[in-house]
Amino acid sequence: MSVRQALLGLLAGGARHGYELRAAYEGRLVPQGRLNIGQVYTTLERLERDGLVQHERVVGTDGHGRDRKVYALTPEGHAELHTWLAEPSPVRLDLRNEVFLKIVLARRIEGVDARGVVDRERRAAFERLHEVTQARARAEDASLEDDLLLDLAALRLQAFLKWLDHCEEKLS
Amino acid sequence: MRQAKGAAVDVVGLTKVFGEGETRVEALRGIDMTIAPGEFVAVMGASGSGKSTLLHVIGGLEPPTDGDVRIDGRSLRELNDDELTVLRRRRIGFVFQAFNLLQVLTAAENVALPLVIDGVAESEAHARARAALDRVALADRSAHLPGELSGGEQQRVAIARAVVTNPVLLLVDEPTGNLDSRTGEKVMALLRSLADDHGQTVLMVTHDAGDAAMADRLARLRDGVVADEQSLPAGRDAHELLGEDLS
Amino acid sequence: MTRLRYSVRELRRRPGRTALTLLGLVIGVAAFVSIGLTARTARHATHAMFETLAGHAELEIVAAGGGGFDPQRASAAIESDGVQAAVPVVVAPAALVGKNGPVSLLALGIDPAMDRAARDLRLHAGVGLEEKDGILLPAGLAASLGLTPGDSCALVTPAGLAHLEIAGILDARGAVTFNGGSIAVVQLTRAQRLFGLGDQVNAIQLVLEADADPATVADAVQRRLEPGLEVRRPAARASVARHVLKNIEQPLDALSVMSLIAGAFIILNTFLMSISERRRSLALLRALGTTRPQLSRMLLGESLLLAAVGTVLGIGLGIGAARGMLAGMGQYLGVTLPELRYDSSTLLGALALGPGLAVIATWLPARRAGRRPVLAGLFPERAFGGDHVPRWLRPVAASLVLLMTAIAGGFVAGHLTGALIAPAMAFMLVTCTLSVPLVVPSLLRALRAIARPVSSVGAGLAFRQLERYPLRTSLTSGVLALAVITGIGMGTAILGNVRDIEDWYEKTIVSDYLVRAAMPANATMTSPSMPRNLAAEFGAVHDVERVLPLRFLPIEAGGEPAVLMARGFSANRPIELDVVDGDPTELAEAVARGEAAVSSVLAHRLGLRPGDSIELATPTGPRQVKIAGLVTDYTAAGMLLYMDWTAANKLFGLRGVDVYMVDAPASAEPELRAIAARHGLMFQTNADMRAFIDELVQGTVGMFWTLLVLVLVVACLGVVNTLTMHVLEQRREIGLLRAVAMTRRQIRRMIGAQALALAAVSLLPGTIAGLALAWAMHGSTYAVTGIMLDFRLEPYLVVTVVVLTTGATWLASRLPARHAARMRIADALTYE
Repeated sequence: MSVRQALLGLLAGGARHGYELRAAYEGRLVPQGRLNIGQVYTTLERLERDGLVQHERVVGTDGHGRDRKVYALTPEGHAELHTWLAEPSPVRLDLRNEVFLKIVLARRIEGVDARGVVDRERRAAFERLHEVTQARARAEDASLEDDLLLDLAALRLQAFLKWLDHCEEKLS
Repeated sequence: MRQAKGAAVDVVGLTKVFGEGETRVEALRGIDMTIAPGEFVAVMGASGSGKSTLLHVIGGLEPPTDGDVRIDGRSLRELNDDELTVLRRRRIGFVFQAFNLLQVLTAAENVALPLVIDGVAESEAHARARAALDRVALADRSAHLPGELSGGEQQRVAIARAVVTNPVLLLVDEPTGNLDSRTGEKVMALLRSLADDHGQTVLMVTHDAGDAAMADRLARLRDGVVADEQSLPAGRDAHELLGEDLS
Repeated sequence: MTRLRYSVRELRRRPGRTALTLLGLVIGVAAFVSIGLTARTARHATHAMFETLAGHAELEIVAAGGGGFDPQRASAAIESDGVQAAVPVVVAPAALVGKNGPVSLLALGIDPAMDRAARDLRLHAGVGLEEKDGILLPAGLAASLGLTPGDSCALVTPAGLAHLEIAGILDARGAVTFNGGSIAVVQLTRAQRLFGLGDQVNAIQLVLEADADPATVADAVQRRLEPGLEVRRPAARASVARHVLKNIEQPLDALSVMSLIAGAFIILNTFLMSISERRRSLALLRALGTTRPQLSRMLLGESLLLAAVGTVLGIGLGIGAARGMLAGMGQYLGVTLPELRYDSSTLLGALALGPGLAVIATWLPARRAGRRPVLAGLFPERAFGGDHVPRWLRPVAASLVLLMTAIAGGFVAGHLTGALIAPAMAFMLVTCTLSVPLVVPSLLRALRAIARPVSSVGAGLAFRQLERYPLRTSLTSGVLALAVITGIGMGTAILGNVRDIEDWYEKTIVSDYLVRAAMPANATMTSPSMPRNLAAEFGAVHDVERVLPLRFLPIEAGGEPAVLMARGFSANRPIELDVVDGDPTELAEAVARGEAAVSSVLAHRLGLRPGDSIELATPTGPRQVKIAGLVTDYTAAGMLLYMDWTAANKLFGLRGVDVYMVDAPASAEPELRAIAARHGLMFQTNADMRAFIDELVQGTVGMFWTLLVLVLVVACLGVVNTLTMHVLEQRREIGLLRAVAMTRRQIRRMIGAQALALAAVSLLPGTIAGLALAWAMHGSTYAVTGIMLDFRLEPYLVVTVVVLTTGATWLASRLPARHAARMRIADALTYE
């Protein structure tokens, strides 16, 4: 996930200063994402260097009466953002999986039951899925973004559970 | 013999064998299960694991080969066919996968059916049916024939019919099997709310992990026995869940 | 080959329904075959009987009225070309006094020397008539009477009781097999004495040269005969029997055609069900590339296969039933019927009708199956479950009704003949059955509205299921209506006839006692005669009020074979006949003057009215007799006329009396009985005679009722089929109802309610159409037969038919209801 594209995208909605950008980023745009303010400013500086954003100083708008830099997109920045949106992202298989590692190793290590590993992982996944589905069922007033994210979580978990079923079947 | 006090459903040493000789199939091979009032239990398993048979036996649609089922303390073994029918009529609600409604009756008539057959006065039966339809948010569809309703609406009417008698136990068989995922979710949310808001005891069999995850407790059937059982803890809300750090 | 195998498997997959359909067809075909074979056998047997008696003789010369004539009067005629030999004989009905009453037989007087040209009599025991002037009896008859050569036997003849020595016993072959061996042979001269013929004979049988054409020879002989004599085929003696047979054949044929039609409707219904049940697999066949014509052909093939099996079984069953019916028919006709005759037209007719009707009945379903969109079949849950009445049925049924009304009008107006009755009734019933769908849906709705306040949930569901399948419901109720229409229509006619027969004998058979040698044979309307002088002997008994003679004389009236009833009437009394037209007292006076009282049937046939003259063939040539009035009479199928004894005697020379009708108080009975016994005669009280007629009537009527019940049974098979189909189709729903709320009993009652609703919607139009049919039949009865009946509604009959139909329908629902109640719920819920 590129912080660079995220900031470009946020600025497309209007000029903002660094703290605003961080808050928006951590809010809903990149769930569970963490960004420190230093990262924000280094990225903005790089973008400015590339001619994609520009800033102007606004006097005393923070609580302490200090000046702030407010960033906005340049036309090149707009172009860069639209190019990114138009291109498909590389589809990653995401095969680095801890459970897979456990299963493979459990089969090699004497005295460990690979199926037991599967069972325990499944219980855990079900607990997770229970949480997600419950949350989804209850969150009647959820925003579209939340809804889409919960769907993603639920479907991934279901896919994972299905994979565990396959593991179980093929291990026996 | 073990007997859980105050259980809605108590299944003890249940076995069910179909056929004889070479065609003999042991569908259930000793099932023990207790469901507390207000509990929502899902039974999962691959096809042929015996989950539908379990539902049929608990619902009194099939006699057990051995063992017993107690609904609200009453042993099914002691009941004859007519008494079983009355038990199903008054104490159990059924929701099936599909073809769940009588095509010749309107939504309201379908819902009122168990009451009317039980001899409840027609006016009262229809008032209760309307209330039940209201619970599934279909009050405005009560005069429609099933053919004029969408699949999800039909299933909701079926749920209204199942709960119209205030049954001790709601038996649900693959409720979303014939529905698209979005409609299926609505039906599941409805079942969940019945358990949460009305304390309805629900036993549901399904092979859909998403459906099963809606339950409070999950039993996994494999080759006619309960292979695994787990309680699913009450979850967090969406904000908490989405704000949680996985890294 | 694969397709045939598929068809066979489909039929075997539903053994119950296949069996029911088959049974419906089998009953229809069996009724058709048994009635056809019995009637044809009887017709042929009565025809062949006298041919057998005549031996090699192909023609015979007789006097009009069967009286005697001087053989010299035919001497020129028998010299005609083509005549090889002329054998004089005396042929007369007589009765042998047996251990258990009189044995009717035909006495044959022959000249032993001349007779060899015509008959080849073989002696089994004893000696021939050349050696001894005794009597020859067939082996079977002799054995049953316990007689052997040398024994003596008593024969009732117009000359009194004749005691004859058995000369020989005859082998049962050729002429001796006449009427099952009811024959006795005596010398010609002896016969002339016994039957009061003097030097006369009553037939000269002509043996023709091998290459002679009988028709040509007959023409040549007739030209040379004096008036009063006639040459004809020996079988003509049974011509009255043709009328008698036709009278019962026509309604029987109509009924047999009806049961066939009911069978065809069952096939139609079955195949409509079958394609709706198999829509998925049929759609799959279509999706896989089976063309519409191929699919239709496949279904037609299935139906043909079923029909072929059903027809073969039906023919087998029909032949079996015909064997049983033959005895009854023989008893009715008063003849011994030989082995069943495998009449090819009946058998071929059944072979064509069974499969033919099946193909017609399958045509609609087969076309439907081909026309159904493939996707609707593959995904039936998308389509609305149920059927609809095809749109074309409405105008078609309406025009059929119009045509039917026209045909009924044609019968009533007398433009159409009796031979058309069976096809016309068949047409009428098909029309009624096809019109039922026009009214059934509205009737169902009305009935539901009426029954709503008192009906249970099950009943409500039952109604809706029926309303969902208007076509199937209509067809089933059509078949039920067919049974009701047949029952009420034919039943009213039968009861009307029975009532009329009772009315007739109430008025006609008035004497207290009847004395006769034996009962007359219905086939020939001849009866053994008794001496004329017995009247005096009976009259001499103390308290006897009157003794009247009666004689049955087969004659030709207006060119038609008929029976002349020559009888004595009391002067100055209203005539003791069932008078249709005219005043009984005036009629009595006219008959006393020598005029004739003619049966309405005969008059109608000849187109004659009172006041017209009827031409009678007499031994002295044709004579005109004035018709004094019309009477109703059932003897000889109504082909008869009454004349006063004296007048008839003048015309025909009556040599004996067939019946003495004696009026006397009961105190005279023992003495009268003793006289009768002394002369070897039958003594009947009025009650005996009525009981005898009742028995005859009951026999015929019983046959009709049996057939009616068969039609009802076939209709009920249709009900079983439909309800079973409903149960199968509602399997999932019944499973659901069982799971959700209903006890087995409630399910059974729901299916029962469907049956009762079916019965109710069939009964209303069925009863109306049945009464209309009865009325039309009544209206056409006179036009077709000349019988004048009073039309009366038969409330008991209507109630009986309604109760029977309702009961039978309910019974028919028990099997499917049981099936529905016993269904395993879990299976039903997962049923595809």
